[in-house]
Amino acid sequence: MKRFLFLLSATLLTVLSVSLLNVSHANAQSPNYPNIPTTSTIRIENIAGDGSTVHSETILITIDDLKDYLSNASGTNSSQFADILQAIEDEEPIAVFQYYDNDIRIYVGYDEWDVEILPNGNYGLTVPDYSTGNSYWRMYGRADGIGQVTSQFSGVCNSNTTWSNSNSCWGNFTSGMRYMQLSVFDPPLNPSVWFISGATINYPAGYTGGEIPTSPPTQQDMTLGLSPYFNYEVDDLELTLTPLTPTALLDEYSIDECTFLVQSELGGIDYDEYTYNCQSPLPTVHTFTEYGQYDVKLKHYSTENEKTYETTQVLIVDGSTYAGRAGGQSQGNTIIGMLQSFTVPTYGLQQALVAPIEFIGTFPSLAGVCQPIQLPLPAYINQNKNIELPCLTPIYQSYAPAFLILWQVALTALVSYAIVNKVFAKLRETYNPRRNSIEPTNL
Amino acid sequence: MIGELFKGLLESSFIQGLITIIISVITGLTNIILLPFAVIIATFLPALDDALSAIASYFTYVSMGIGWAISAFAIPPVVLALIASYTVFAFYLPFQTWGLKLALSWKKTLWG
Repeated sequence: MKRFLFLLSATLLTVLSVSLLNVSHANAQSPNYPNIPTTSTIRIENIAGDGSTVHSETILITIDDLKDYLSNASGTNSSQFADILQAIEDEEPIAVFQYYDNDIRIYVGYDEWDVEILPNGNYGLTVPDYSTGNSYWRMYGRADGIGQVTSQFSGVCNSNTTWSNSNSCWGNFTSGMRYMQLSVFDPPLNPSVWFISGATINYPAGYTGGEIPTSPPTQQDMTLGLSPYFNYEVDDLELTLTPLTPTALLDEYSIDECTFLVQSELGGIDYDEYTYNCQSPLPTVHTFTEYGQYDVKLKHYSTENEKTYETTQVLIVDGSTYAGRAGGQSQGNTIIGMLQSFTVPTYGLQQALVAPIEFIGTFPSLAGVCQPIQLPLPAYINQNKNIELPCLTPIYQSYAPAFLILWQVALTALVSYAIVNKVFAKLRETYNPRRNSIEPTNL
Repeated sequence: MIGELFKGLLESSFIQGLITIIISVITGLTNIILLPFAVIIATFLPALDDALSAIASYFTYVSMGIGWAISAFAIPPVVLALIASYTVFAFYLPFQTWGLKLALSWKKTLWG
């Protein structure tokens, strides 16, 4: 009986895995460039500072769609868009889309670092290919939160530290370096506003190339789209709300219609809507008619790209007085934010026990997220030579797609089977009447 | 069809949000339960506290390369979601059963 159940489970799991994996490998291939899909799925998410999703959308984009998108785009990236369009016209292999945290990248051409779009949380500059000399790059920045700062070509820079005014991030150019970027990890967990103050480039002696283009100093929020924050103060039934000046950070579109509205969560009659000057918002006072739970929504509209950005904060009006800064979207996310702010471990013992589960909890968000790893070559450490380990799944997919599918089916089936077994064992253990205590070490 | 539904469910923001909430609950309870011990260690054995903090730092360090490792082993998203969901389930189940048994014991004590 056990053997039969095992075989039945294994068969079912295999069938299930095949059906799941067929979905993920359904993209068509380009006839001209068999390794490049003709369609790519991009997921764009607007993550608020507290980790809540303000807006998300998934776009299945074709090359024609991409051309339309790039043709209609404007803003500071328009010159890069033009480069991409030109690459399409030149029939260069295009395009690999990669969604990585808040970073949407479009690689074009044979050199994957040829063109890159870095909307937020990143700062990039293109450098010509020249050998290292007395040349270095250096960036200054400030954050009001904690983040991990890495540089693409020179290893970890100020890892896992608060990147403050006193710190700068710098390293040497390396031979063959075509592009440099600065990435900030974990933006959803760290409600940070980053100020990338620009780059200093020290040109090597004898350098005859043109000036390396650098962007002007910019302030970059870690959220895509709109900076969603507003300040609020609740005193008994009176709400004073001060929205901050909104900026559409992804495309740098201008926001020209701003409203906020107050509505009872249970759909009561307490509903009011206010419009305000987007560029110089003044505090607005709203008086509730009764105690209860309310949604306070900020809606910002850009006529330029015809997009509405929206953020919501749940307020519990119970006669008490409190104030804060908000940017969350829903009640559920507010609870998450509250729990997270309440449960930040401050002692080593707590951190040590909590770290593994938090680590595992990040797994679902890591699917499809990969950055090449840079390792220093032992014999050339002093010369700052690195070896780059590329992301391997795309390579497997290119050279051995059948093996990849087989491996993923087998892996999914094995893990699923093991987990089903463990769930049953866990449930059986739960029925043990003598085990009615909870051990901290179980955590 | 079922496969798509299952895949969609596992990769949905609902599941990810649920995992986040449960992890936050577990983290909060862990912190509260361990607070006295943590304070004692931090006060009288600061070196040990630093050493324990290094464990968390290790996980932070490892997390920087985990994306590459997942890509290297070609682990599909469904498997990642399954592992995270099971881990959360395994940690959360003792809390649930403990609470249920506690409630039942109170009921038995109060009303026989």
